[in-house]
Amino acid sequence: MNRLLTWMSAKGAGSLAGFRAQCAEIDGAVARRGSWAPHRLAAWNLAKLGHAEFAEAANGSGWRVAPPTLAASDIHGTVRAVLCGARPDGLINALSHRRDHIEVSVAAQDSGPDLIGIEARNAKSLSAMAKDLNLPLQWNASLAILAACSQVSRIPLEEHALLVGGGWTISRFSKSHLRWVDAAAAAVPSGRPQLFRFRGDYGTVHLLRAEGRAWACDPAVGKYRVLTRRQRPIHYYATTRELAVAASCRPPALVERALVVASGRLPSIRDNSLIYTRVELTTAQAAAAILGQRLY
Amino acid sequence: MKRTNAQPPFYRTAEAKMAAWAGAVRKWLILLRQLRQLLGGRSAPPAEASTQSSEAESDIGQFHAADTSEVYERNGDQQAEEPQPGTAAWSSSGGDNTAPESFDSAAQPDEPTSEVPQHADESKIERLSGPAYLPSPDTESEKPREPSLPNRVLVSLPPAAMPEMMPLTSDQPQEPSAPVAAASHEIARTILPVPALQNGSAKAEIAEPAIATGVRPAALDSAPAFAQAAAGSALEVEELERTWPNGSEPFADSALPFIDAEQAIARPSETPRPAGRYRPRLGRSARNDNAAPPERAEGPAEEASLLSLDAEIQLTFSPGGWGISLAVLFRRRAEMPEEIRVRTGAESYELAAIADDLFEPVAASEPGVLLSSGLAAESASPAARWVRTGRDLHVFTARAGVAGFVSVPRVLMGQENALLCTHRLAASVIGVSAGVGSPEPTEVEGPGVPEGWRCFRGILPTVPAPPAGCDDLLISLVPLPQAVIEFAGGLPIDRSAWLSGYPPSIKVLGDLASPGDLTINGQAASCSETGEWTAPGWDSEGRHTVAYKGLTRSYEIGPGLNLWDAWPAYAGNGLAVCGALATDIARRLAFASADGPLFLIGQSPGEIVQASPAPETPTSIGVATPDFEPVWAVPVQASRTRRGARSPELLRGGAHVRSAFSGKSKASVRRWCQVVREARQSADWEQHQPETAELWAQYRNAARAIWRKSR
Repeated sequence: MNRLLTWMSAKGAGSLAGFRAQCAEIDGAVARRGSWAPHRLAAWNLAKLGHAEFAEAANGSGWRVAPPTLAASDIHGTVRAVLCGARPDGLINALSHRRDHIEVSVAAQDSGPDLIGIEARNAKSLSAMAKDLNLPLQWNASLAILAACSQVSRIPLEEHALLVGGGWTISRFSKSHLRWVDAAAAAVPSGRPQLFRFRGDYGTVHLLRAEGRAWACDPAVGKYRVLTRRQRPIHYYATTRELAVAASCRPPALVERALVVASGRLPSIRDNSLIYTRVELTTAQAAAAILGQRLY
Repeated sequence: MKRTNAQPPFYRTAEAKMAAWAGAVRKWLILLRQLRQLLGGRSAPPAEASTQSSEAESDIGQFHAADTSEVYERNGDQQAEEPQPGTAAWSSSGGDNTAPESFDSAAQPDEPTSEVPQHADESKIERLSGPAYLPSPDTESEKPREPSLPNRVLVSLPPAAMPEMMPLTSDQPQEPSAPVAAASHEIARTILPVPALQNGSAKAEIAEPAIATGVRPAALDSAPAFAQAAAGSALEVEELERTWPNGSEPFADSALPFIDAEQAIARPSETPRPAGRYRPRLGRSARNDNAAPPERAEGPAEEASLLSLDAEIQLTFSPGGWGISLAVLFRRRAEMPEEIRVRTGAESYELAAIADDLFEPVAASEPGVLLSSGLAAESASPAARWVRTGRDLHVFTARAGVAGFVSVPRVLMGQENALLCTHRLAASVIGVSAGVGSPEPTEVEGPGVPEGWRCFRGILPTVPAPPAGCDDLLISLVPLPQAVIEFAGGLPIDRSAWLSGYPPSIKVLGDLASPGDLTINGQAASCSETGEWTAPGWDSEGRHTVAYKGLTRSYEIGPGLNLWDAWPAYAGNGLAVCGALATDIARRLAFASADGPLFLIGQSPGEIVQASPAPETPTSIGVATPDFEPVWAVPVQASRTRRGARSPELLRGGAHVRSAFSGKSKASVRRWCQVVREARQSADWEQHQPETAELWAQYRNAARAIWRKSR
């Protein structure tokens, strides 16, 4: 995916059709095997890693590459940063120049461009490097992104008519099992909010239903609106600085980006959970608070 | 209605009457549909001459026929030999109701051949599938048909049923001859009565190849009516009604050939009718075989609604040349939507376009079946059907815009080709490959190569002429002489422009260019082993022109973008996020802290801002968006009187304090001074960071001085 990101960096912005075509040519060796197309996975991963924005977030349709940014950790002690955004060859070459108190590492990762990490002895060194390269330096990038996130329970939703008629495959998100189940009981009124998924031939609609009304919502937002703290979808391992989120309860896009940018690595799957690494306790607490959850 | 072995008169005037009969058949089908609607929509969908014609498409789109003209072809196909390339009988004009432009006598269905069994009843049954069985338009089609009158529709049998074929009579076991066996893999058809469809019991499928070759599906054994017919009974085959033994309908969907487009939409879960078997029909005329084959509408009535397109196979080699993977690429018309839902058997995919003429690839779940039996897929909106016929030899070559190799009708000169063939053909393939001047191909083994198949790559033909004795089946290994300058690969950043450092590879396809024939910017170019041409400065920034034997093509190498702006991709809590960058609305960089409130201090006295949690956020994240470049981050607890508090953190080295603070408010200047004066210097600075200690001393002295003056 390095070539794809290089191409995106050179072009700056483009259409989704052009992006798909490049995915097929550059990184198309992996044909679609599951339900997700490779170009969709590429788009999601590039967005999670803070390299590019897609669709509405790209100021309209298509895609747009984000400006190159050093996403840094906290300012205290040894600081670490990852390179996000555009990645032209000239920048990579400039980064590879040796500097005092700076170590640059490049590590491959599945389904995403190489992780370019920078470790500096102190904030001053990293700041000097950013100034040399004319790169914006985003201190506490994860926290800064989380600071822009609204609490899930306060995100305004658009009311939507409850879908009726045939042709839909209806599922309900089970809080107890943390997965979609057949919504045979969809018509059963419940006092608590329920999240339904209506799948049809021409698309999927997620509706949050409560008190006889329904609201269209992003599935990630909907899940965390119906989940209570009892369901415990989030766990934090302080010793390894890992945040585990139930795989079926992937956080909303911006929250997930904050968790990914902390390490620059896409989450791995372990024990049916998404594992985000190098997440500081304060970041994990902030993410949990935004999702209306408690850390365990 | 009795039939005899006598030749029907219409055969002698087939060409003249074909069009009229086709119209008659179409009228019947419309009538049948109306009849079905009147009867309330039984299980069997109405007949529609829409999806038949694409069953046995060649991948160059020569074959287009439907309705009666297709019946001719089928019948001729079974009885006689494979059509010869270039005969008009196999490359009809595409008109649905028109007969083939000329009917090759070799393929005339009324000529007896040695493959046709001589059994009287079989011969009788054989003709049921031919045009002879179609009623005369003079007598039947022009008068209104009563709903109860028997009509005939064509039903098909997928190739999957063929292994179950068995001799029609136990005392006359007959192995189908090669052409007939090949034909038997085509979608076969027979004629069933309308009432059978109307009452929902028309589930019999009597394969035409079975009839022609004396074999039939084993499942038909239990059909009493068929048994009677086989035994020489006078019972007419079109009157048969049959239910499958277990009550199921193994090929229910495929057995209903005339799928109305609207009904196809209404039945999204329906399995697409299987693909047919490939028959080599590559013409020898010069043409661009790599171009997308023309789309075929299934028939005049459905032209606007049902498209028949080709599916291609994508071949990629695993790293190290060990193993392959196969995927299916669906052809696309430019006016088709960017995203489409395609059904292949039980699977359904939402595919997006990757080029004007292609949708994204889908990995082949059963590569062996894909190669040998082909694949059929359908989409409901727009109504379209994709077919890749099964065959024993698949030829691949690189294509710009798609990774790996893509199936093509012929190999191309000037670039590497690959192929997949059955074990049986391997020796012949290698022989023909050598005959067209290619070095010995490399066999690729490993995971992904289906059992019974062999994969070769490194086929670089140089002679655009078939070697002596080249079989038609292997003609796809013979390239055509057609020179094209090709730019492929690299990183294109615009039309005919590539990113510097990632130039396109320049190739001459369709011809064997010699050194000196091709020039780049007027300089003689040299060719690499892989067929890529280069010349001094060919990949430098600027515009370049490639010339070869009167052909010219230009390309440009550019530096690409080097300035990227941020924009508010996401906004919330007064902040905007773009990538990993968080700013405020005025695009001032946000500084977040979870260590509690802290002050950010700039070079000039008065440059101070406090990062504190927003009042309505559930987190303890403190955020500040200073309009100056912060030099120090001073925790609020960094008071000299508080033990264990963190010391100030230097964010920017070499930022000496400024004495001027004009324009700053008195309160902010006093606060700046107060924070700097009260913050505690780290004990480590003196030892490990003397420059930081010195800089901090500057700031503290300045703060003290200003503080004293302000008192």
